[in-house]
Amino acid sequence: MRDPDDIRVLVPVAVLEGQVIPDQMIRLLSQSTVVLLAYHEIPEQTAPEQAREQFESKARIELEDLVEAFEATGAAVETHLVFTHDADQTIERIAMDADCDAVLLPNPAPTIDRIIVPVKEDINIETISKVVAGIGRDQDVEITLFHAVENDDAVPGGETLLDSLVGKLTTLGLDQKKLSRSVVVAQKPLQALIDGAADHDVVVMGEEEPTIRGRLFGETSERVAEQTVGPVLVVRRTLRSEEESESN
Amino acid sequence: MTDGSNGGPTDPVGERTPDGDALVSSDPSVDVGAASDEVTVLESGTELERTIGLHGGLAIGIGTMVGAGIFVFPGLAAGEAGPAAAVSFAIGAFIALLVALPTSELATAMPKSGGAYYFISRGMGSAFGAVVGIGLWLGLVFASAFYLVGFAQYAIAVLAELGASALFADGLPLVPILGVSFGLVLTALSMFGTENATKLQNAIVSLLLGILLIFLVYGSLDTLGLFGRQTVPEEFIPYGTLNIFTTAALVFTSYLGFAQVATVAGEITKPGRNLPLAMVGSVLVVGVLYVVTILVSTGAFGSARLATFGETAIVEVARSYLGFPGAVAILIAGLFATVSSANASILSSSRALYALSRDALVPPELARINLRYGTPHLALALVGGPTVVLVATGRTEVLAEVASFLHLITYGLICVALLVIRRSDPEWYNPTFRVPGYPVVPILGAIASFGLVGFMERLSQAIGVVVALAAMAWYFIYARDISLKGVQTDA
Repeated sequence: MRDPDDIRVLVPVAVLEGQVIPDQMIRLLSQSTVVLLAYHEIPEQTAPEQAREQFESKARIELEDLVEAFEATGAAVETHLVFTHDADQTIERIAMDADCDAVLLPNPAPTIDRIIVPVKEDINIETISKVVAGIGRDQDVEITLFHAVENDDAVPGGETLLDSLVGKLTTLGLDQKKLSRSVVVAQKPLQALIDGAADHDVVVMGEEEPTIRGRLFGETSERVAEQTVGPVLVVRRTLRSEEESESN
Repeated sequence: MTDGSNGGPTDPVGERTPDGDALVSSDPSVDVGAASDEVTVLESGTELERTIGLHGGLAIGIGTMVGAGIFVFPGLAAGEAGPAAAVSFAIGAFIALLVALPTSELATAMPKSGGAYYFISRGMGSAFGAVVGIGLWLGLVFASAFYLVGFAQYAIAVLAELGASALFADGLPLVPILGVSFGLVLTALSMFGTENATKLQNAIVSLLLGILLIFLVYGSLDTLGLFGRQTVPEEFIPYGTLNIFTTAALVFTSYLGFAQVATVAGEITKPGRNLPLAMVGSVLVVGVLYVVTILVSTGAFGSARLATFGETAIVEVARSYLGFPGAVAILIAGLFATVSSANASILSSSRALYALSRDALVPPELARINLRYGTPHLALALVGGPTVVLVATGRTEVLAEVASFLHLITYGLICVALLVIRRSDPEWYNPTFRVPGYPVVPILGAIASFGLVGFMERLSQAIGVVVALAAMAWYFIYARDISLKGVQTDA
């Protein structure tokens, strides 16, 4: 069975398009189980088998290099090599099948020292704290817990929310000195987050919609990934984690 | 490393062999892989995602078929068989169903690119396979040319409607010019990548069905006299019973589409359920539409007059029921329908070439994928090139019949292949869908497919036979040799 502390992170890579995972990001995931998804998206007029025959060996070589890079940091690695017409569908399927806690939306990351974790009331706190603790426990990083509220009256509520998260994270073995809290009053929470993310290197955020067969990424995380320069780690909202959070 | 397949039936047989061996092996298990609902997992652990759902499958089938039967044939068919052309279309649908069921079974057992070629080469050996594969490639080339000629007729009708016909009145061969240029455009589009082509196809098919439904429901009610219309009184079978069958042979081109679903069998989700539903469903949908169209059309004008309108007869029918807006809607629908049929056929044809080249029955270079665009550019060019040459002839009926000829041979052989495979019952053969009424259905399907060929015009039969003989000659001259060498050369 799964070790409850083990976090499983899906890392999708467009393997034949020269997409690289930054070394810093590889190091950040060194304590995780990395589900490495090498995919090659092909247009509809091409049969996946056809692309497979021509590109499989090349893709395998690229994949092996990536596996070595991750394993060198101590991460456990599982791999998938998929030829698909629809990368989003493939990423979602593997995330479900491989029971991943989070999905990496890779962006270049020159350094990874500062992580921002936006938090909302109705989001899957349990899995987020597990993922943040799993990543941050053995890394020299600063973690900002971020919460946006609409007016000053809501600030105390936000403080309480972040306090409870700090409590969860320290229980999970994260050093409290690494944590800082930021409650921001803003009319546009998304823009506030993007601004806040500007001086951070990685975003760890919850998935918006519960995904069974729906879209994997809520609009928010996609927009954050587009508008920030660093990688975004999307924490999935699985049925399992929902059940857990309900029972807690 | 783990293999991420999500349960699903796993392939009991075994070993994946290097690709080279697949060239001479007639055993599909070498690379069928384990097919589950959403993915095929090959023995190497590599996964092929399934991305086409039931809607997509139906859209491929209906989108390929609907162009011809409604937007090209009503005038021609009514001219040959009178109102009984409706029976001709029904016969076509019945034969298509007899073939669709065996095709479904084979496709669920061998969900591979290439469809019919794959079943027949695995069931009956590579000589038959080569003839069918080459026949399918060229049959689809003829079909694409036929659709493009239809498209050109619609484009001209649109120009005429816009009052622009005077501009072109000085004897320019408009049909070849428009057909050829649009054929080149379609080929170029498919070579350089068409993002979201499937979504576009789905949308077009939905739009088409919407327009047709309004038109046909209104037309049917009107024909039945609900709005006080007097239908043109006419004998049901004015030109004799034989003409019903010759017309069925002519219009069978309207049903060349259900088997195209099998060419993407490897990409269909839940293949055991969706493949048969998409194939049988699309035949039923278009069959009903065709029959109603003929009844409504002949009700409006009488077949003799309808025949004088030629390929775009349905536009005049729409005008007579729904006035100018009806004519415009049907013109637009006709443009879309013929394009969607031509496009689907070009893509299927290139899949057939790929399947042939995978088995080294044609040079493997043909299936090379262009690294930049990710498309099999050579194969697409080998479809688009001959297509536009044929379009230039502008001979609707011959193009249609040759396309049907080559497909009907394939369809007959599919039924035979099912009988052969069921009798030998190889270990790898585990279809998730089984033909009801076996062995009657495939036997009837084979007899009907081969029989219908006999009702075609002499010229079409001659061209069809020449193509089949040329394919056989190609196999004996080129492919026999290569398939032996292929073991070493292909990596």
